[in-house]
Amino acid sequence: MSINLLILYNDSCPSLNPTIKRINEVLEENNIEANLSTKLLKSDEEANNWKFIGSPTIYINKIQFEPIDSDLYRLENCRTFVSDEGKISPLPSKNKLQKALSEA
Amino acid sequence: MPNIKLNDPYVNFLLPATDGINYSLDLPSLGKIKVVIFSCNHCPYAQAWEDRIISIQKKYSNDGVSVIMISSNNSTEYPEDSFEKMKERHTEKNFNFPYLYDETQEIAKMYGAERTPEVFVFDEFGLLRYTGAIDDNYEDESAVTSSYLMNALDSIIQDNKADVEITDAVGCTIKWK
Repeated sequence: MSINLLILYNDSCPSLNPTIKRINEVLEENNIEANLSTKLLKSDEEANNWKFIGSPTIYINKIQFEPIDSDLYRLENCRTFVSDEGKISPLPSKNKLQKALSEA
Repeated sequence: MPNIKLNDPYVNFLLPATDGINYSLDLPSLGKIKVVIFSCNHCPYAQAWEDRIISIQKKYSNDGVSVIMISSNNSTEYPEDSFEKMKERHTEKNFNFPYLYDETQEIAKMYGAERTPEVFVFDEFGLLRYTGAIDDNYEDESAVTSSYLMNALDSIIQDNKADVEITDAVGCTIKWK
C-alpha cells in the first residue's frame, strides 16, 4: 500500500528542496512507495488554518512527522528538527524519516 | 544582495548588547578585523552554525578578529528573539563575542542583510572584503567542503583580500516589522 506524504512549506525558507531530496533517498533506498505532494502556504490565515509551525512540515498518512508542541503558527517560520546527535537542524533526520516511513 | 558592496566602508552603529555594553564598530576593544553576523535565536540555520561561530572567534582572536553578532528580528512576532531571550541564549551558549539587538531594524536595512545568518567581514581599514555564508554545510560540520568565512579570514589576514568575496547566505529570512 502506498504512503501519502504531504509537505507544507513557505516560499522563504530554503529547507524544502533538501527535505524532498532526503525523503526521496529514503523511499528509493527502502523500496517504499509513496505519493508525495507539496502545498505552498501563502498567507497568515492559511498558516493558522493548517496550524503551520514552520517550513517544512511533513505529514505521513496525515500524521505529523516529529511534531512540535507549539501554538505559534507563523507563515515565514523555518521549523526545527532534532538531529540524530540531538542538535537542532533545519532538516529532518534521515534515520528518523526512515523509521517513520517504514512504520507507516 | 547587500546594500554594502565589496570595498565599501562599514556602516557604524551603536547598539545594546546582551553583556550590558553598547557597541559601536569603533570601540577600541574590538579587533582590527570585524566580522558582523546577522543572526537570531529562533532560526534553525542560525542555531546550526552557532558553535562554529564560537570556534571561529576562538581560533582567530589572536589575529585581531572580532565577531559581532546582531539580531534584527521582529520580536513581537518572534518572541524567541526578544532582547531578554537573547540574553538567555548568550548565557546558555557562553558566546565569546557580543550579541547586539537591532530593535529598529535600521542596521539590517542599512547593511541590506536578508538572512540569518549572513556575514559581513571588514578588513583593518574597515572595508568590506567578504559577505555571505559561514561555510557550505549548515547541517554537518564534518561534511563542510568550503569554509568560506575562515578562508576569507585567512586571506584577509595575509593580504587584506579574500579569494572568494561573495557567497549566498543560506538561512531564515530576517523577520521584518
